[in-house]
Amino acid sequence: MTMQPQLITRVHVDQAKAGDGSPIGVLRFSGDITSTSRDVLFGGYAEVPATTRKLVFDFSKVEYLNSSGIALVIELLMAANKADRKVQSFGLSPHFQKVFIMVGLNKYTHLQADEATACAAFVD
Amino acid sequence: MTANGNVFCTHLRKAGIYVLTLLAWTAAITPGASAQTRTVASASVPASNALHITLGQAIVPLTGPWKFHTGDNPRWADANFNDEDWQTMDLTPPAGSVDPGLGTSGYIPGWTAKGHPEAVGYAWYRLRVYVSGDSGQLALLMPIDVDDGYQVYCNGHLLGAFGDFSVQRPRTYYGQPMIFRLPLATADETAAPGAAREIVLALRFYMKPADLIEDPTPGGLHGPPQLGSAVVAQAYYTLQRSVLARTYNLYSIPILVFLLAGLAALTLYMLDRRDRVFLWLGAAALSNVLYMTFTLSAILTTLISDRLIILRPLLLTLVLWAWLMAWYVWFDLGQMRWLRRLIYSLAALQMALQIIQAMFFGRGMNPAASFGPWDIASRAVNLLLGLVPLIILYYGWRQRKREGKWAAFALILFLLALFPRPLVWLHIPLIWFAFGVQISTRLVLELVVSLWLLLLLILRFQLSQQVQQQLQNEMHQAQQIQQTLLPEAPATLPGFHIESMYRPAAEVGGDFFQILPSTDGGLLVVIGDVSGKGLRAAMLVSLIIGTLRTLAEQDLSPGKLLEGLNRRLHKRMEGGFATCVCARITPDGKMTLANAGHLAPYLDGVEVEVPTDLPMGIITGIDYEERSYVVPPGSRLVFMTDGIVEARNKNGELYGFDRTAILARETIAEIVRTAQHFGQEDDITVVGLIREGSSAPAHI
Repeated sequence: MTMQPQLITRVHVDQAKAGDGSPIGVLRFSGDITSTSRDVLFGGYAEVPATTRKLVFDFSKVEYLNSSGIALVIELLMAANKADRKVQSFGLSPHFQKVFIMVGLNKYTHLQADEATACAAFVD
Repeated sequence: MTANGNVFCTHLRKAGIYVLTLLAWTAAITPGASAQTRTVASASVPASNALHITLGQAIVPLTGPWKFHTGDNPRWADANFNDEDWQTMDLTPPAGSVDPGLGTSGYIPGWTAKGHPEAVGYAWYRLRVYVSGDSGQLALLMPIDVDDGYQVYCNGHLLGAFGDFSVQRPRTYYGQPMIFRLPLATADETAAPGAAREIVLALRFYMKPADLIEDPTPGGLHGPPQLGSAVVAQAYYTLQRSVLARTYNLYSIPILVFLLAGLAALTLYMLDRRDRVFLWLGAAALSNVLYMTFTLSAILTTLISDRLIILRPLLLTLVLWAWLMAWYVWFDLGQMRWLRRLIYSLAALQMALQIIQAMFFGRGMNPAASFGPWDIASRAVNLLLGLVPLIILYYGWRQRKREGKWAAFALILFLLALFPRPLVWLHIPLIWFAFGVQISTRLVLELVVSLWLLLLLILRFQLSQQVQQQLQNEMHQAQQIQQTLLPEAPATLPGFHIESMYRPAAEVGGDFFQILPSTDGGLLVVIGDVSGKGLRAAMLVSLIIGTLRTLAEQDLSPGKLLEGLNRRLHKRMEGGFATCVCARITPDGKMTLANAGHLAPYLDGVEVEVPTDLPMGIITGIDYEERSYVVPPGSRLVFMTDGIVEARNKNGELYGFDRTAILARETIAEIVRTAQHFGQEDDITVVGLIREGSSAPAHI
């Protein structure tokens, strides 16, 4: 059995502007997202001001997502949904795009090609 | 050279100096020397500001009167230079003078206590000596306690140096015994037997600015140089060296014990990576070894100059950081994330401040930097770092009283070893003698801490083994429960040929599947995966299978069955979820599918397009959409869990959906074997089902 060494999860929070000038919180994930990533993920999410209604999840630097990691992303999306926040995602590999669709996450976040498309996709 | 803001090194150095000072003064009061002093008093010599000595087979401390001047001028080395207007300086210890570091007597304050409080950089001492008596070769034995480097001139000729004066700002080292043989030509200058010979000694000193804040009274000589027969001086020099070595060799004991403890801790961590306390204790012990070895190398050798000494406070911060983390983990304070952040922040800040001071402000070289805001900030952070162990101790004791007392003892000793000042307040001597050997209290503390650490490691490992054994037993029981819940394969139902393989990963995983007969003669196939692993996953699988069997008796459609399962799992998954695909197949080959976030099945190697929704256990009220298909006679359906698509090879590459689709045409044994060979990371479950009939033969 070949177990891969786990990469540290990191979240960097940026700000962008939507077409209407409203703020967008951009959460840039990197490393592996697994069961140990909870604090980092939710810590990053908490850094976005509560008044920001638009979020972009950047997965372009995520190396690996296992089922526990998917569970965390689902939880994050549920939290955003509950707070009436809209989420666009980009940077997922074709494999994880399929996984996202498989677990029905495309109902809670739209998968976009890149950051510009993701930011432009917010229509209020 | 004085320790750069560090108590440990100062005390180590001063401990050695103390013994060597005793030796020096012992040499000076030998009967021979006393007799010679009397001879000096009766000698008739030409100069008033000169020392008159008569040498036998002894060495004599040159207490003065020395002439002293701050600044630097190459002419001051000249034997004929007129130094009459220079300050006169006596190197006899003042009555009642004590070493500010150790409290020992016989200390001579430096030039900053003699009218030059701000003087740093160069300064010169000169002494005219008239030597009578034995005319053999002479040697000058320099004191070990000096600030910081010096060059020795005799009658205008450079004899040698302690420190590297070839660069603009001399490189200096911790004080060490030094001997300089006076040239034979000097001894041969004797005009007539019994007449006094004139020797002009000039000592060019360099003191770095940082000494001003690290010693109360720094500056040049803290003891008198000694002049005498080269044979005797050499004997004393050898004795000083051997005393120094003997004194510090004792420190090799705690270093070796720390090394042993560190290696043992890291080995234990390799054996059991779940207990990070071994990692941190190993890191702490080995960083201590590094720090102590570095310090001893600086004291006993000239490998480490003042340029490199900046590494020592950095190493000390590293040691402190590793120890704080070790105790933080030991006391199981993981939930106090603020404390961990505090430790990391203070350690990083301290290192950054030290590097900034060294690189940009010439800490130790630039007086302004030595007293500047960066230095004050660094000292403030150091103080805060010193308080963190007390916070750990307070919360740790509350958290784990039983084990805490053992670790608390080690922590208190460790703190005292690092910051021994409270011992002085309690009048506990830092230096004492046992059986004629000098012992440092700090050395004893280091030794006890290192041995205690070994003991703690053994206790912790025993405890860890017990817990691990208990966990293994629980896991084994969970695996047995899971195995009994999963159907035995191969199973055969009329009209269908079924085979399944389940290959768990190292831990108890969350895969599950059920193949149940329907009342209409058909089949209900359910396969799924609970996120997470271990006992919790196994218990959730038990819950799912129990619920599933209950619901299956009601002959519900796949969508309704998933809805029922989802309802019962909601709020019981603790942030996790369960994916599941459910298929009901009638005897005539009609298949109804519903999917809760699981990998779709493959029909004759083609992925079945099935609408999917969120996995179960996340939110309630999901209507899982159903879709109907036909499984022709002879066709083959393959259900699997994500252990296939998420198999990863050594390069981290996933097996992926494309390869899985191709692999789905193979036998289930081959599917499992291929995924395992590629790199199994998760449980693997594959269920193959052939609808018996007259179409082309299919293989499972």
